[in-house]
Amino acid sequence: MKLWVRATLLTVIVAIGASTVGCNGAASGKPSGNEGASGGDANEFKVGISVSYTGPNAQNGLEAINGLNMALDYINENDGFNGGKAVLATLYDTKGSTEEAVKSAQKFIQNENVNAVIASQVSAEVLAAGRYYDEAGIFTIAMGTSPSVMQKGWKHIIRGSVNYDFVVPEVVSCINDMEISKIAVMKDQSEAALTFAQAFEEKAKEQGIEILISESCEPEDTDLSAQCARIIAADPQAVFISMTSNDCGYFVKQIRQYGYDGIIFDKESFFASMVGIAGAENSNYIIFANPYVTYEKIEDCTIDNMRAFLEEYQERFGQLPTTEIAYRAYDSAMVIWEASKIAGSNEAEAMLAAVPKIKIEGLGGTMDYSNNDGEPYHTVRRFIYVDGVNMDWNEWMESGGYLKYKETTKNEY
Amino acid sequence: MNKTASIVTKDKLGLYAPLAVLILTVPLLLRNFSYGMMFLCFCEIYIIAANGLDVLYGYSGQISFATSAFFGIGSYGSLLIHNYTGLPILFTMIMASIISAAIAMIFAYPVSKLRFAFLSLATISFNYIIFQLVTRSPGGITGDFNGAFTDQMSLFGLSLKSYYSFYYFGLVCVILLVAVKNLLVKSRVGRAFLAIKQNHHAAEGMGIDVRKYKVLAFGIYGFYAAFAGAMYVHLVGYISPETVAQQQSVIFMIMILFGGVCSNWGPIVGAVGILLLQEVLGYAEQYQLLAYGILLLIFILFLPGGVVGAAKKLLTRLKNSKGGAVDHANS
Amino acid sequence: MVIQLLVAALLTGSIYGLIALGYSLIYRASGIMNLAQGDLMCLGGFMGYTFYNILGLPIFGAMLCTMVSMFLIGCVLERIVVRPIFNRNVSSSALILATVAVSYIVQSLELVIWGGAPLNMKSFLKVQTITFLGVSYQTESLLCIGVALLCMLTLHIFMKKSSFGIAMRAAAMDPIAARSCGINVDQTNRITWAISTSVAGLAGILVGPLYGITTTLGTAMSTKGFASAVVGGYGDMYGALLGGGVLAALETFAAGYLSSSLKQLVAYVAVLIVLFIKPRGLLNVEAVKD
Repeated sequence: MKLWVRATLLTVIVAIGASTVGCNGAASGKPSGNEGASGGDANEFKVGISVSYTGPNAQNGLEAINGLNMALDYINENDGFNGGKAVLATLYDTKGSTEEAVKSAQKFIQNENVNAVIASQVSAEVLAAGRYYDEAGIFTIAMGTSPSVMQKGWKHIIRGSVNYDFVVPEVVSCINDMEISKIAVMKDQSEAALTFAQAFEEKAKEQGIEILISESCEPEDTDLSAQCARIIAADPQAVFISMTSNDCGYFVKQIRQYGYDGIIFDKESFFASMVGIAGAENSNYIIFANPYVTYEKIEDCTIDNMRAFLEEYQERFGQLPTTEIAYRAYDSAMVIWEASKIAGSNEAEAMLAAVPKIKIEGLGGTMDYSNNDGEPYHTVRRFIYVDGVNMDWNEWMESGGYLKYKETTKNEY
Repeated sequence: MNKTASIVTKDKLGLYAPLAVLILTVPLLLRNFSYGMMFLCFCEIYIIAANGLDVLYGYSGQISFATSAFFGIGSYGSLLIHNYTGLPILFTMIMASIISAAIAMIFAYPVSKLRFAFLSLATISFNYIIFQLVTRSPGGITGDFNGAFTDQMSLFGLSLKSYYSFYYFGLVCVILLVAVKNLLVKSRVGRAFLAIKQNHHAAEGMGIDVRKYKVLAFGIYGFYAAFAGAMYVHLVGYISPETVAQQQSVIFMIMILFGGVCSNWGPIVGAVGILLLQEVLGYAEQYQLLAYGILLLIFILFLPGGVVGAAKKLLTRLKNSKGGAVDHANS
Repeated sequence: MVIQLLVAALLTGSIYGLIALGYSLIYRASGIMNLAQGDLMCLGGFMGYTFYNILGLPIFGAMLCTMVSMFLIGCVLERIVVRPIFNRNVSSSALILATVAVSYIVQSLELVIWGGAPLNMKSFLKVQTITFLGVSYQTESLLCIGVALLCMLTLHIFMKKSSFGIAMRAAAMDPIAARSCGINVDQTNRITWAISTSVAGLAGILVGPLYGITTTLGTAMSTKGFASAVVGGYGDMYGALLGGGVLAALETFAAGYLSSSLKQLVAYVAVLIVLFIKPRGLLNVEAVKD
């Protein structure tokens, strides 16, 4: 091959290499809003958010960033953080990987000098990166739901969503209320899903509910035929799903197509994105207990502050959120703000001391930290997805929905 | 085969001395930029792994898509042994690497009669199997899908937690292991490897026990990859199964193809180059994949010797064009 | 439960078989191991999504369009990528890596054009479940199996009976002799690639409504398809189909009767066993190159 061609190719490659050495972490091209340059400005309050916004569960991350931007704008219109302007730190994609979560933690701490961090809704990522935030003394609020996040003894981390430990008893008592006693469990391998399924199975057995079979699946493996076949063969009265991510949708679709027409209990709300995958009809009769709920049309929302949030979100981003992570991010930002207001300071230690005094109206209900356990939501509402809408469960029962269901499906308990 | 230059010769001292000074003092230069220090520590780890793969692929011609499996055996091995027995970290690292080498050799024994497509498939399958074992461990000792924690590096009771101190430890490891590899490939063993790579029938005809050397090559590769993995887990203090995923193995192959196989500096340039690329393109996965794909194609089609190979040929050409006879054999 | 598992195994087997078919055809014709087959399958899925969801074509129209587009892509691929690599006489290992490069490029193009979020194809049947003999089946699964079998049958007839098919087989067996018979070996190679790509694309669009369309599915499918081809006998068309069925049956029944977590483990251990003991596969096929 000609000498000059080789030389050119080599020079080009070396040039690229040299220029990358010059770059010190290029800025992302992804959703921005309130981004500020690195290096702490004394009159700034920098918030970092550690989420995955590419890959299979990108929608969660993107909506979280949107929710956060909305919150930061609101905060800035209302005096900021003790006068300091709220600024979004450069985004670092965790790509759904715990390794990247650890690396993004390093970047937030060392490159960005963040004042506070909103940590991923994926509990495994928080567990991996948490120790770094704690050691660096950064005010961290986690969006995940697994109890283990708060059990590590990290003093600088609180929660901005619901702890599953509070959800499990609610789901179990709901099952009892409906007089169902034989359940099949389907779980995936993520930390949150596994711990929830385990807690559920223990509590269920305590309350006299029989767990006929407990199936599991791998992340991103959407061929659930074997699991579905086994569940159908066990003939349960209801199926309980403990799955994170969109794989939920595939399971619901497949189990319905395999002929199961009964009630499905879910550990968290069945997002609109999952309904899209499973098909609206297949998603009927999914019951869950959660502070948050997603809506497909604004008219379906009957909760005032939630409705205001949705209207602004729709106006700003052109669609309603399809996952609840946007709510969690928004609420988390509000909690950080409240802490700084009560403490009268932007210092992490003062803010953390102020946390037990926080009591605000979040999008999912009252967020009350007075138990001093870093947990905001201690009670949850029950919902059921029927005919395209997330209805309040109590309303559904009272309006005869359960009887109607038993008639149409001929299921007896 | 070009003459394999030794690492340090008198006439190259002019180049190597300032380089050595730079490498030794870089922590001082980066004292306010610990992220860069972290990057250099990762470079050390991947340099070791890439050198292991070079011994296997560059010298004995066996393609392997299982590097991350052995990397994982080193990581999880050292983690488990250290967590359960409390033995000192350096010791558990070496133990895990030896276990990995043993596994590699056992695996290599039936595999040594496979080539190309079948060898690739065997290594890919092996990687998947290790991934399955790691994510469904008995009693969940590896933390399954959620990964596991362990202590960060410490030597003889001295904690090497910070990137700055780990860097020096890593540097010693790199120098030792690369020197060993260099001695190995220049020895009779190395020549046997090359003979097998060129034409394994002819090698057999010359009396070389092909199977024995292929197994040995795998063993060395297993050791190096595992040692790198063990360094990794004690640098970060955490490992998750993604590091063992099959897709990661391909990255190692890209590293040595990029840098240049069958050379001293090739794997080093390759590892550092690809890590840099990951940093720059880290925010846009699609561009990262595109870059890997295009780079691979370029280096396979046009620059089969990698960056180092091309640079060597360029230098030879320049030297020759200065009035000496053009050496067609080397162009 | 047995019947449901059997149907599931048939479905997975058909998909693996379609991909394995591509592997074997290409290997037999050009001696190359194309690790990009799985990603080409995904590409087919994405194109199917475009034709069906976005452009609103009826389902069989979408399938046809996908197959035709993938056929053309296969031709282009052969012309632009495979031919130059082949002409340069690169080592076999480097060839394998070149196909890995192609798979990366295909994946990145998919990400750029369709984005990273997994896409969901609407179900194309009104009736979601069929109940027969007291067991319920997914209608989509049955349809997919049917289409796959039809495709394999068509290919079989084409290869055995049509003159072009016979020419292709001749060129694969002995290119020099074939050339001397007047067969345009370059063209048959190109068509081989095009057929392989097209068939992989069909697999993609069949799988779409059932499992969703993501870029990550490609690598896993590549490996499984490759494994199926080798298990059945690498280079043999029928071996590919047999291998697909055997591998899928092993996986599905292990998952059904033993434990769903053993699914992948069983599959790959089986592959290793075949490689160690009988690398020529079930149909005892001789390797093209050594």
